[in-house]
Amino acid sequence: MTIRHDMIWIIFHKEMIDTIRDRKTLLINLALPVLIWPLTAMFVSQYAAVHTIKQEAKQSRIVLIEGGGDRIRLALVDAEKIDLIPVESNEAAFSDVPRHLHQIHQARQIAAQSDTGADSPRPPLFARIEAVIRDHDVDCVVAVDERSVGAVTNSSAWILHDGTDPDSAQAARRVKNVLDTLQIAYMNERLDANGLDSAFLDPLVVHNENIAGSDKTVRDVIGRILPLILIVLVVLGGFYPAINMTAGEKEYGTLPTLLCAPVHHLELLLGKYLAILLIALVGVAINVLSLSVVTFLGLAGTSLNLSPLIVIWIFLSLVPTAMLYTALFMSVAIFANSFREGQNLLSPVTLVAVLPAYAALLPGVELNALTAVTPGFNIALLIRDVLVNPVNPEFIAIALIANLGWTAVILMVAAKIFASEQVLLSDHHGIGELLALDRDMLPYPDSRSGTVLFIVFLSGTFYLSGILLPHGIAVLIPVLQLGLFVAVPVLFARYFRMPIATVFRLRRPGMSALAGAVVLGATLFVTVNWLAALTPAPEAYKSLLTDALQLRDPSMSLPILIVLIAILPGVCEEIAFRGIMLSGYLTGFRPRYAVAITALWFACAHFNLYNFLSLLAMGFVLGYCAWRTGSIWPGVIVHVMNNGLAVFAVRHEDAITASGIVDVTGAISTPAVGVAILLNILGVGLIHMSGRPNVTDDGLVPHT
Amino acid sequence: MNSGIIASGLYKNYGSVCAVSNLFLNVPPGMIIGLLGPNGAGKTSTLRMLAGILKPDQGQITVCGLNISDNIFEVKKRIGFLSGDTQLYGRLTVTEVLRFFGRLNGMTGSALAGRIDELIRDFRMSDYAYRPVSSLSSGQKQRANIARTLVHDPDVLVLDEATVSLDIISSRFIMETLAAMKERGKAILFSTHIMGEAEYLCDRIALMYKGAIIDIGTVAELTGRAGATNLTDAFLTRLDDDQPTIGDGFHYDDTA
Repeated sequence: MTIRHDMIWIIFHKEMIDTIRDRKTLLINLALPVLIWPLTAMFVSQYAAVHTIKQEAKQSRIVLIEGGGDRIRLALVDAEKIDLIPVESNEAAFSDVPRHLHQIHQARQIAAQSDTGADSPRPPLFARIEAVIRDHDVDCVVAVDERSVGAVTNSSAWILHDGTDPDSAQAARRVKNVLDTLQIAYMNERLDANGLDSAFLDPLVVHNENIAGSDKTVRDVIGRILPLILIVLVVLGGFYPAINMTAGEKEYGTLPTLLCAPVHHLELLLGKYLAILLIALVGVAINVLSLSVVTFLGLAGTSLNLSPLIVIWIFLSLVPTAMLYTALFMSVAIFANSFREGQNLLSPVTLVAVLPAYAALLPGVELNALTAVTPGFNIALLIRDVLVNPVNPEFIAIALIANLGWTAVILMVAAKIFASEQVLLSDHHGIGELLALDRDMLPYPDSRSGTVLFIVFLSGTFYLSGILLPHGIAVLIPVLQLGLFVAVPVLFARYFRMPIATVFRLRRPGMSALAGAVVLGATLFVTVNWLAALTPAPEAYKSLLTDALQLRDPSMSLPILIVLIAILPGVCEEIAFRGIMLSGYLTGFRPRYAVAITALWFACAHFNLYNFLSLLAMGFVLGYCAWRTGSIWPGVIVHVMNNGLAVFAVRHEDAITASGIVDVTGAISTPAVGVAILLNILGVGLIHMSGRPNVTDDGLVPHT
Repeated sequence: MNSGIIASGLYKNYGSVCAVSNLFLNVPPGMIIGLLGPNGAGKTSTLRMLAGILKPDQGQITVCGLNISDNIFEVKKRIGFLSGDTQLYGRLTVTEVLRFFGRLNGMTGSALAGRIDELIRDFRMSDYAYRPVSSLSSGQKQRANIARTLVHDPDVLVLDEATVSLDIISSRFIMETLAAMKERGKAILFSTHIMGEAEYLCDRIALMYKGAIIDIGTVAELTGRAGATNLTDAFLTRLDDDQPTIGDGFHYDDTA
């Protein structure tokens, strides 16, 4: 099949004309950025200026509760914009304040000495003062215990204010300034009395210089926020056109018209994709230019000037991001049958797309080999670094190539989707139908239900782990495995009256398959761990995981650990992933893709980035076993044995070392890997030899 | 060579739902075949398969002597497909729509411009040829849509309830256009719910039910076989019988 460039151009040209005449797209992608940046900058800077002037002009109303001398009172009376309110204005509220403050001070000193680390409770006095500030037109309360300068005990002053109230905060600032001046005066008096110079108090003078300069400091701050803003703009730029050119075409009935014409689905895809991309990029370019003009003119009140070179760099960094996200949006939006449905489908995707941009806000997250290949993260960090530091060209290249690679992968998926007449033409595959709960609508799991179950598994694992982990694995694992991975899919299947034994692939496997599973189960552990070592986890992480799973906890005996970590997950996860999920994907995809998707979801659901590769490989093997034999049981054997050996290895490291599987450095020895891979192949071969069960036309594996 | 449409042994399933089952059909050049059937009979799936929009699960389709599975683009260039679902781009003008679909069908330059002028003149669309489609009335839109169907001068026309929700004037315009196309030797397959249209226009009528053609013939043949006095009664009688007249599907080979 030859892709005809002229066809792509004709479709692209039509889409561009159509979009240029669409006022909504023009408004969102072109007009809005031109207006929003200068308007926002001007509004923010003008509001800030006016607010500061107004705030500064206000008098601060202060209640002074004094004891001892009257120098502080006199200093406050002389200070500008401070009005002293008599205590009598609300005597009940201020009764016993010094005593309470003394108690609070003592309690804090004791807590500091014991260093428990626990937060002390908020003193009731503070709540009382907060109420006074809120209800009685008082900005702050100053309690003073004043002594003479020469006294052994120092004077003390408490400024009680509400930091969330601008008036109160300003009053506190003004009082602090007065007291700071007074403190210097006190100190000088003491020094004079003892014949000392003021330098006597500074035996070590520290000069802490920020060599970055103010411009770089501003860049650093903006560099953390700007990637997020720009990536949100890329998302916004592609969002509307992606829906319009896919779900919109379906809703308006123009897609069937287009499909009548002699156009290949790839030409259709690429024509539309390029149009969406161009619109998104024009939007981004206008945003970046508008932002540059705003900063150049100083409208945002910053001293940051973006040089043309930096502007070009930022724009070029966003090109692959736009390519990636528009491909993603298009692939998702095509499943919708209407614009509204497209918005519903894309909204969560945009959230996921924007999340990595928060990476730039996090301290300690740097552009390195790993983050450079992670979509979203890489560009956010790249833009930040472009603004702040000279960027390593290797990482720029890796980031750009990685994004292009991800884009290619997504476009390949999109091409498959666009080739599907069910997706393009059917009005039976909308999200609405998926959410409807007609018990007859799903006689057998399909790929949509596979994806829905994955989302449930993923979010369920996340939340259940967070909630139950503090209670130990004896609680967490049974609830997670039996409740989430077994009960949810079984209830799902029962609700839709699905044939349980068929859906969960419970057929009895042949002897060859069982033998293969045992060989695999006994040896896969070595290969999986060897793969895991290719992306090694930091020791701290390993230790954390070992502790969380209580693998070295003496209160957990080996048999209990085997039940919790080997048997339960081995059975339950196979029911969930290689049972209903694989059955679902097999109805919509060719077996290799169904196995691959299931393996990917299996790896994701473990929330372990370092073991992702090994989990993916294991998912492939288990998926193949289930598909080839039509049964989950060989996979259960492999899974249980694999996990069981992993537990055994932690508990009996000496035995593993003595066996020669690991060398003295703790790494898995090369001969052991070689032997394990050969035995893995033998195991897979035995499973392959067991043959496929009878498969009906619609891909169902009958239960025997 | 225009040998019309020849479909044999077509099957189409959507999951466990069988939409078309063992369907045979021949639409010769210069003839209009009507396809009648209740909702869900499989008419739209059949027409979409014959137009190359859907792939049959099983069976053979040849259009103008070309096997559709081997020559999908060449076949599509010889087919004009129109249905109630095929809408036009609202923000494009009539001329732009015709140019777009003409270019997709491989037409360029003066040949395309001449063809567009001809259609605008013949279909009396000059008053709104440069107006956006969204500003047109339903009848004007449907005229533009028929012009879109014919812009590449296809040998075969496939129409799926093309007159649905149109007023009598617009419907009559379509009827007249199809009659004219038939005179020019086009092979036309036409599905409708309106018995009057079928009687007025079609040389043969195929009755479709549960994914298969259960009877085919002239109006006189259908009413005669059903023992009915009109096409509506014949249609309802055949549905009550729920049995195909000839075998599982229906072989129809009338090139006369």
